[in-house]
Amino acid sequence: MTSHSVLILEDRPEIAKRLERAILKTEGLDLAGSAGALDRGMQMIFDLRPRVILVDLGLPDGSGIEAIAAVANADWEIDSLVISVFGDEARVVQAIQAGARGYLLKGGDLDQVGADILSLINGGSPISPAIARHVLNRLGDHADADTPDEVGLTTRESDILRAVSRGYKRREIAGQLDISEGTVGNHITNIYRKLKVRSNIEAVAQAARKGII
Amino acid sequence: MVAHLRTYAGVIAWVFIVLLMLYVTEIGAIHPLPKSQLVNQVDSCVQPDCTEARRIDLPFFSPVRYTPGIERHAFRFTFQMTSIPDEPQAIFVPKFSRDLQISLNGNRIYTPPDKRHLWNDPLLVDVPPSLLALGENRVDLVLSGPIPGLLDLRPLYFGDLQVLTQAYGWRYMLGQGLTRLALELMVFFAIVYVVIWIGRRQDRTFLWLGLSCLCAGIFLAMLGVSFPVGDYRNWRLLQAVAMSGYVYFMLKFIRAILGIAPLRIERVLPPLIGLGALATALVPIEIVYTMSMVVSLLAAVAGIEIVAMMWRHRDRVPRIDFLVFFPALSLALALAFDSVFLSLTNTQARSLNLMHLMPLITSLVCLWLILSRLIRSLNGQEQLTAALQGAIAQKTAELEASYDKLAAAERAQAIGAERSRIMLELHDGVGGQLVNTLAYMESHAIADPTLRGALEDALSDLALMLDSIENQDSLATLLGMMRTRLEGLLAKHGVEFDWQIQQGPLWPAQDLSDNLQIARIVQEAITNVVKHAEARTVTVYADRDRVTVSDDGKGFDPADLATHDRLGLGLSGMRRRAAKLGATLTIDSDKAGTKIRLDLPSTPTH
Repeated sequence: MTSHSVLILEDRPEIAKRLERAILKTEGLDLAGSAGALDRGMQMIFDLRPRVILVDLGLPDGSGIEAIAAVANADWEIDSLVISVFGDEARVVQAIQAGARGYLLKGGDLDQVGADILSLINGGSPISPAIARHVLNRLGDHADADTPDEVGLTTRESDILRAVSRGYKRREIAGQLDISEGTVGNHITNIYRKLKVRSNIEAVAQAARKGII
Repeated sequence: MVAHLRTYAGVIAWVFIVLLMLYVTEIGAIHPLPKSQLVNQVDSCVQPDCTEARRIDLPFFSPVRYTPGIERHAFRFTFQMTSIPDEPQAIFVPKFSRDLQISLNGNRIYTPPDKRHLWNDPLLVDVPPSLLALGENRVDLVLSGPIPGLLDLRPLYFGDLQVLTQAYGWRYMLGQGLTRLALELMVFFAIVYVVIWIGRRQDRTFLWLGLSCLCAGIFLAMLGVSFPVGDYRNWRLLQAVAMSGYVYFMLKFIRAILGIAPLRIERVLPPLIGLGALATALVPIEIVYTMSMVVSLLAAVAGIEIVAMMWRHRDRVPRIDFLVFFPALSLALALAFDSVFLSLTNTQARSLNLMHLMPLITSLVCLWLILSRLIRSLNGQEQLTAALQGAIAQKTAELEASYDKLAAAERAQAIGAERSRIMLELHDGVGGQLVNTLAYMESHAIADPTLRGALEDALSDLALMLDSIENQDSLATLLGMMRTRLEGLLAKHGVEFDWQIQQGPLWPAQDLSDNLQIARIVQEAITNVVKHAEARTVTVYADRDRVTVSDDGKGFDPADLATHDRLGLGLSGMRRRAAKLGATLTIDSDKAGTKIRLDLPSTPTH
């Protein structure tokens, strides 16, 4: 079984150490390295070409968003997760729009950190009720749209987001909708992709409004 | 096409019915009058001294004569006087053409004036009593006129001046009087309409009406004013052109007022009228009359077109306008036909030509049409103004409302920005410190359960606060976030959630802190289950009216609460929070488990 390399971008040393311990004790994950600043982290990303990066947004020399945006266009398979204290939706959604696949709680237990990273590699994106509600509001609740456009939600996606926002877990939603847990995960990954596309469209529209392009 | 032909046929038939009615009324018929003698037989004198007289019946008509010179006819009649009356006497000639000279007993009592005699003008001549003789009195009449001959003399009266003056007055009023009235009105209207048109050039409706009045003025002047027009040819030419111009412009006016596109006939008529006029000016004198009649017939065609058009588009004008306009136009057309008919047949069947009434009638109904339009447009303008003011008031209110909204949105945005900043500080600052400290204890193997518990409690309390602020408008999401955060704790104690948050909106918070209160109650209840109940499942249920937390644990006896400090404190805290919300907290517990039920206060249905 191949091991997946993980790079950490976190400036608080104790938290970084804790994450390192969590990765090291998880079977199937390798620690590629750990950086406490954005500059160093960016360098390491392109030197070490890790499979996953864990990114704190508030780095001393810049925002982790830059690292997330950089790996979104990388030429190897790489996923990014934003590390957050509480998983607050404002910052997580910002990271997802930049290309992150989800979030990781800093204060969660060690087993959970490893499990979340593995779940991400296997195609599942973590999502919290608050983030689900935020995405529903942002992409529009197309509860009765049969033909959603490129960035609109399908009826199924809206159903899933509504269930998540009420606190239901992936396993329960799969049972309610009579689909597999993996399918629910794929839907969420797809929803995140739409969120990113929508934010690109909005950025272009805003630039056009301001006369930049 | 067939429908059109039917309309034209209908119009012509209708006009002839009106024409017939005109004949039945016998306007201008000559009847015997009291205190006077109706002379309808005279001697026609071949010689000037009337030696070879021949008795004829009046009316007398002379044939057409185009040879140069003056056509002259002499007549004589006699009457007996048994006594010379005290009242003044007179001779009244209702209709004659063209000039007349009258002598009584050899004394000239009427000599034609230098100016042209108008053929519509009757004649009243005073008879001085001194010239009357007992026994036979002799009246000599000399009728004369230039080309084209066509002299005529109707039956005439001799008798009481007062009676005859009255008859003369009526006849004068119907003929010359109305002609001059019409002429004055036409001149006035022509000026007014042209001035209106100059004021608003984009609409030619009034120009057409003004020109039409001008043309009517010309031919009315020829009937009612003795200005010199020139010879017979000029007279015919001017009359035919003025008449057809009048009808042509009237056609354009009616067409414009009905709001329909220009007709083909409007393009065809002017060149035809021009050609007819040119021919009238150039042809030999013998066919001037025929040519001018051709031009007049063009006017008749236009007249029929007007009435037919009015009928076809009657739905375009208000009913009352149509009811006034259509009969008036038909009557005007009938009068024109009447005149043409009288002229064509040369018979002068009726003694009074009423053609001058045509422009009078049409002008008055045109005036009606314009006034009715003016009234409607004034009313419309008032309604429009009222509607406009209503719209302005409405838009102003909307604008004010949207300004208010904008101000509220700006305030909300400022509050939101400030809130985001504080939240960020709490997340990254306080939260980050707490997590870092916990991580430090972990990596340095500092096993201080009190410190660790305090830090963890502070972290989870901060998380609950932040969640309740971020989700203050959605209890379902707040409960969902709570589940996410407590899942690890439950797993540690081997407890599972049975999550039952119902579809549809949950209880809407009335106050900013309401959801936080509910979340604290629910969190306390769940924590109690985990810590004390020895349960396997904790069920969380929520709908619009209530939230319940129940477990399948060992339950407790409320009586034991006094001895169980921690649990008692927790429950009294829950009750305090429920009271703050205005909700009712019910706790049921037995050996099969505990159920905590929070009945939320009813909210006004929206």
